[in-house]
Amino acid sequence: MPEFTDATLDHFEALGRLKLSTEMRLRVVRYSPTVSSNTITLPDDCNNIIQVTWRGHPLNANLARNYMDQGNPWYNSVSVPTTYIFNKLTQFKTIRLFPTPNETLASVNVDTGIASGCVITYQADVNAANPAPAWMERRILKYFIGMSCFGIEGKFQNLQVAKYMGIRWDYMFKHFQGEIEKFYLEPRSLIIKSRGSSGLSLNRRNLPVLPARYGRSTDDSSLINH
Amino acid sequence: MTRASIRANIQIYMGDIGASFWDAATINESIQDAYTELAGTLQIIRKNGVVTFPAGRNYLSPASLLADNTYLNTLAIFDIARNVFLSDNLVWPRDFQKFRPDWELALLTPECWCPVDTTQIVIFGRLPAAATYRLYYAATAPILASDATVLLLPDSAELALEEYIQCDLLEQAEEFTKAQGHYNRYLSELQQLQDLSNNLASGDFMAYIQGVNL
Repeated sequence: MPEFTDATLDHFEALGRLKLSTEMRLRVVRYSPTVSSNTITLPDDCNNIIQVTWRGHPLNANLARNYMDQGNPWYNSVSVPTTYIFNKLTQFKTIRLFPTPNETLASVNVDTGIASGCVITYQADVNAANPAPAWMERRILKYFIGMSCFGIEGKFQNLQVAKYMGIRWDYMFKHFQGEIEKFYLEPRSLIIKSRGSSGLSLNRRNLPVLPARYGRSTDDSSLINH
Repeated sequence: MTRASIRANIQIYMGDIGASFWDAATINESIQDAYTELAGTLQIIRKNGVVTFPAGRNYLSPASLLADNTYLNTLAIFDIARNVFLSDNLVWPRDFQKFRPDWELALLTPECWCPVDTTQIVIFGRLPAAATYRLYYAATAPILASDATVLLLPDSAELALEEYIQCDLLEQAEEFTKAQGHYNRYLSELQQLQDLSNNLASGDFMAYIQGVNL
């Protein structure tokens, strides 16, 4: 059997996790920076912003080109921020708030201090300390690591094996992407609302009926519940 | 269906009786992997527990509240005090912002919830005071500690389980062509099990639509 160093295996394991992170919403982190200017540097593990709130009120994402539109009257205005823009000119993981904040906000507890701080909710990388769900991670990372290791130059290179592992990785990646979407990101739609005068109503209290359809059985039920 | 019975079958399928090309520990590891993946993919192990939602928080970690490290994902939340299930047909945060833009500040009895990621859920409405809820959730496969432990899978899942294990063992032996066949059959079995689950559920659901439980 081929032998690869632990460092090589660890490296590809980390790369595999990064690949999972960019394509699946496995981990969401909420972060409250200290805001003393119009620029906020995002944490390194930030992949994608989901929501930015200023004292509990969400900021809209603005068009990136507006960041460069320095002739715009509001470019240097100072007020309560209403939008944010990714700063693509200088650094990828930086956002700029518009208008420039008229106050300084301290970092707050993201659970209890929402009303008095700026809270950024973002999709974060998974890593060894915060791994993807164990039921899928071991299988899929084995294929990524196998694909990568057998592909590197050296006496253990085996392009056929690398190709086999690569095909598996591609398939399992798509497969688990769909599973993650169903399990964690879609509404359950298990609970039936009580019906109004003309069938199901969204405005009435939910009936205390046990959800008879657990788990995978919820496919397409949203068509009927909505 | 126990670990010992599955291992015995696998040794027969692989022509490995007495030869021990794959030792018991290796096969056990593959059995655990297959068990974990099937239970996870089919969401077939379900549990429930009473948890206390803390006051003033939207974002909750059910695994911590339940103190159960087998937590997989949340299926339903029942409000014990009001005798209702929380609504679960919304997508966070897009739908929550329809209620009010600053939905994270809303201090009220929660009406709905939705998942955030693989470990967290979010409720619309921060509780003014801590309250108890019953959480229905799917769980991951437990670690098989002994050969006699019965797997929490229906008998119809045995074929999928065995195909997965054979594929896994053959891959380790670099028999990729043979592994591919088992892998394809595993996927086919998995699809059938998922369809079975969906079909069984559809029957229940039609009963609701016809007004039986409304």
